[in-house]
Amino acid sequence: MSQLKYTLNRMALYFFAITTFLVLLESGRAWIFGSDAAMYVRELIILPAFAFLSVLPLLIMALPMEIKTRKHANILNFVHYVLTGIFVIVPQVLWLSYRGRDVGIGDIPRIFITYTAIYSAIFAYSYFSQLKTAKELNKQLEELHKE
Amino acid sequence: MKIIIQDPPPGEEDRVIISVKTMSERVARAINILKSPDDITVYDGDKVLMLPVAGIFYAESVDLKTYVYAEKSVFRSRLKLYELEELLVTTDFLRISKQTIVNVRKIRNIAPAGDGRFSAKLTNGETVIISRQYVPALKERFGL
Repeated sequence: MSQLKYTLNRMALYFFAITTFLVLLESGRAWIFGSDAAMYVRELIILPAFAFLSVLPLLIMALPMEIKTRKHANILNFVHYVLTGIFVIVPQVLWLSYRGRDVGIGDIPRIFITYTAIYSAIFAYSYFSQLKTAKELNKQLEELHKE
Repeated sequence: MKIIIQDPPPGEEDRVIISVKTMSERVARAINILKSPDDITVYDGDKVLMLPVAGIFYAESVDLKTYVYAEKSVFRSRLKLYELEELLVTTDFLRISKQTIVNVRKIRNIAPAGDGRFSAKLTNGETVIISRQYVPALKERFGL
């Protein structure tokens, strides 16, 4: 079972990398060649890609991420956070599309800032609420080392 | 409780005799400690070695293989991680994630790592992650 979970994680990693590359490539093409290409990007690449990606994080997050090895921990943590970020990006992209706007390069900073702000707030809350426990644990560790 | 320590007769091996009317928790704990292994068998390539348990920093399972980490070296164990955990249950080892058990005496300090996890810096400079679901066990171990 753990092998299956590990494989799923790797699949998610590869899928995310490939999709991100394609989206950036097509967005770049749209930016350079105009709105027809942008429409193509929105209809054929971005929305289906994000629609699929919006389901994928649910699947990944439902799996325990502890299957990652120490050596892969940093990479997979990063993927975990990026996938979390998609929860922020997807509604924004869909909203912009609903309003009839093309989603393009110009939207990336706004989406990035929103994601960063929300994630930073969650991380800060989590970090500071753990500080007290960490202090207590370290006190007990000191006593253990004195024995 | 009276504790008697004496030299064994010449030519005889060391032995511990426990003489109690009722088996208290303290005595049971002492027996467990005495039964716990001093060394475990590990593999360094084709070489078979006996590694002192006290010298192990942590052990982890990677792709269904178990690796045992000493201060600066890594060895392979043929035991599954849960088997190793059972073998070391009476020692200072504690499970901190699905793939890692750590020697708590080798933890230098613990810091928050966000998302309910903690990172434990070991005395050899390495860092291991304590998963959210194993934090309660760690707190219980330290009586918190």
